[in-house]
Amino acid sequence: MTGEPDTNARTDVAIVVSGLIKRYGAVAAVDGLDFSIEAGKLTSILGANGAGKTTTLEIMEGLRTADAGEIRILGMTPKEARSITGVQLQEGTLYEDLSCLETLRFFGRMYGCMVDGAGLLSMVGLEQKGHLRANQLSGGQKRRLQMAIALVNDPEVVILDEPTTGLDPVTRRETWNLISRLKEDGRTVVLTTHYIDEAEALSDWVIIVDRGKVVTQGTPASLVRAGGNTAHVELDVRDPAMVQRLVSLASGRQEGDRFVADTADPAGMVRTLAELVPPEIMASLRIRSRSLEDVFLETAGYQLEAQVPE
Amino acid sequence: MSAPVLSQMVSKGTVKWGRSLFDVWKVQLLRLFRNRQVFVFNLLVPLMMILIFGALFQGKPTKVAVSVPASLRQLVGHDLPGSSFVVVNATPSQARLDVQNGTAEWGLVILGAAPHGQVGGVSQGSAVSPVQGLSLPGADSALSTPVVATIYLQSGNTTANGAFQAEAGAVVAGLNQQLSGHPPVVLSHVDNLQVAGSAVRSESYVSFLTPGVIAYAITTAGMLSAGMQLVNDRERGALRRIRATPVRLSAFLGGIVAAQLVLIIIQTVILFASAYLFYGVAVQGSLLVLGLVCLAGAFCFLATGFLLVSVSKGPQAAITMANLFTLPQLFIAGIFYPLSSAPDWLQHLAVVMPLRYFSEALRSVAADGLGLGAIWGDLLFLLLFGCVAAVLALRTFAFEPRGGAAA
Repeated sequence: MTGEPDTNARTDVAIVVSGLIKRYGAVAAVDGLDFSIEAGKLTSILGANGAGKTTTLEIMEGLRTADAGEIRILGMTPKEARSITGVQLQEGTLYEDLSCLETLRFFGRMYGCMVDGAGLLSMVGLEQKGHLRANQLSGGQKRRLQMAIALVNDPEVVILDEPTTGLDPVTRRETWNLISRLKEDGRTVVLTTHYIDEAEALSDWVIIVDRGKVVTQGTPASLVRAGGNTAHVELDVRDPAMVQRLVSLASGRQEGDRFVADTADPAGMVRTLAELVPPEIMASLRIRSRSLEDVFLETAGYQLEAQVPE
Repeated sequence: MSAPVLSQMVSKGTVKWGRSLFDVWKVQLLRLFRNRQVFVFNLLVPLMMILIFGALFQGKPTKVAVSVPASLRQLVGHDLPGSSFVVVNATPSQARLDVQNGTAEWGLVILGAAPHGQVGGVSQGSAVSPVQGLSLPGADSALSTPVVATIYLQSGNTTANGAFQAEAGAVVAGLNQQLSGHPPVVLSHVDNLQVAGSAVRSESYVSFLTPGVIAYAITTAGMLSAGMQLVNDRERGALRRIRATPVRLSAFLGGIVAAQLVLIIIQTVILFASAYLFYGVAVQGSLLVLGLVCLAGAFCFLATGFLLVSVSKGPQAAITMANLFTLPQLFIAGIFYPLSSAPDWLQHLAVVMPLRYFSEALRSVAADGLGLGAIWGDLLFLLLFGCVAAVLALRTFAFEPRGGAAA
């Protein structure tokens, strides 16, 4: 599944990724990636583990060099754009023996900036932790401190690699609010996440990658509506043979003992299933609106399953 | 979370090389002072080495039971140096007993008497009338009561006994000269000679040991302190985050080196001061030259430490490599003993060891009071070794763990 939904008119481009290739030995982590990211918008890059999204971000951050192709950030190479780019890496990155305030002031100086550390900590909800050292923070607090480090240079472009991993639900929502505010300030935000609901809630644009290539992209709504299907139907039956029969007769797919189908006509689909499946083997039937997660599973998810035996 | 405006919290500026170096230096210094391992390995361990080895080998004043006729006591008192001997007056039999039961290390008993009214008035160097009965070679007349000097030694301590015998011999010789009135026929003179690149030193073991231990302390500070902190930072991902900033690698590493140099200066001052306070070991040469030697050594070993960080795959590998590099040098490069006393093959092995040149140079300045002219070869070796290591370190430096790859 490729191509752009026609509902997406895009104007001011901040980041251009063209023909990007990065190999680790014989494995192509990024294999000819092409996309652009609109200025002042939040773009999520989604993909299964190993899809190449972190490698792409690291090239964007100037931490890795591409084997071929290039990335331009506001017309600059990633290295040239370091002073206007804020970065939250996926792991680590903290000096464990510095306090939160010392950390922010130090990283601010590395960008030539003077930072109101207390204010920044307040932004990420760590206002009471300023004098604690990084090794005294919980995992979630460390993620928030890393988020604050990403902002020490008042960046025009913010790159966040899984910013809410390890956060509790409340802090996660607060982080969503902060990310939304960054976008509202007019900053270009690039985000990777494994939480599809997060991408759906925050993103103006979603790019799904698999095996180092873009498999689909668009606004979350346009991706969900792609193909005209708006509803997601799941039927659990007690007879596996019946699931296989439904796949061939009712235009859906099998997920274990479950028949799954996306449809533009949920009522019609329910009528069809009621005719085909005897009530005594019908365990449960669920109907809900189609989500970005369904799109992800259809595109990157299936291909991930295919990779498992390798 | 509240909703403050980010742009109001950040005052933007430009990244300048010198300012970046200064900022890294400040933070790195703070981190070094917070690191207890740095305190233990860079200060406590070398300090203990100096104090313990110093206590073991430092020559302490030795108790000598002396029985001398009252008329000769003043003469003897001149010749047994108080810094080496504690003189205890005793009767002849008591002196013998003191040595036998270990109360005194040695005994010196002089039997016989000078004529009354003559010796007491004699000053050192003035003519002395012959003592009646004293049978001394070269005496002008026979003495009715010969002076007999008996030296009591503790059996088994051959080397120390030899040293005391020499001192006691000097006392007897002094008595002979002063009582006979004859000037010495043969004058002795001690001169320290430079032999085959290593000095023949007359100083105590502590003054020999101190510069070597300080050289080793600076070596471990350069190799392990800065290096290990860097490799740990790399392992935790902090260096990757630094790399995503506009700061230049040379400013970043320069700041780390500058912080380490401050630590090394403090360490060197404390160790030399301790050796002086506890054992009276003073720096004989120029402090400026001493500082230059310390800087050259620090540069050499910091660069080597960075090189090990660059090529090692993780903290464990870095520690192993650093220990493999430093420990053999500790025992082979002449820290604890003069290299000239080592077998030839060990001396040949030490030729390639930078710690040998560092400790030799430091010892030449601190213990022997030599200047730049005597140590330029050592400095040249350290600087060349350091330059090669620095170039290789900069070329191979990695901001992230070796073998790491993102997905």
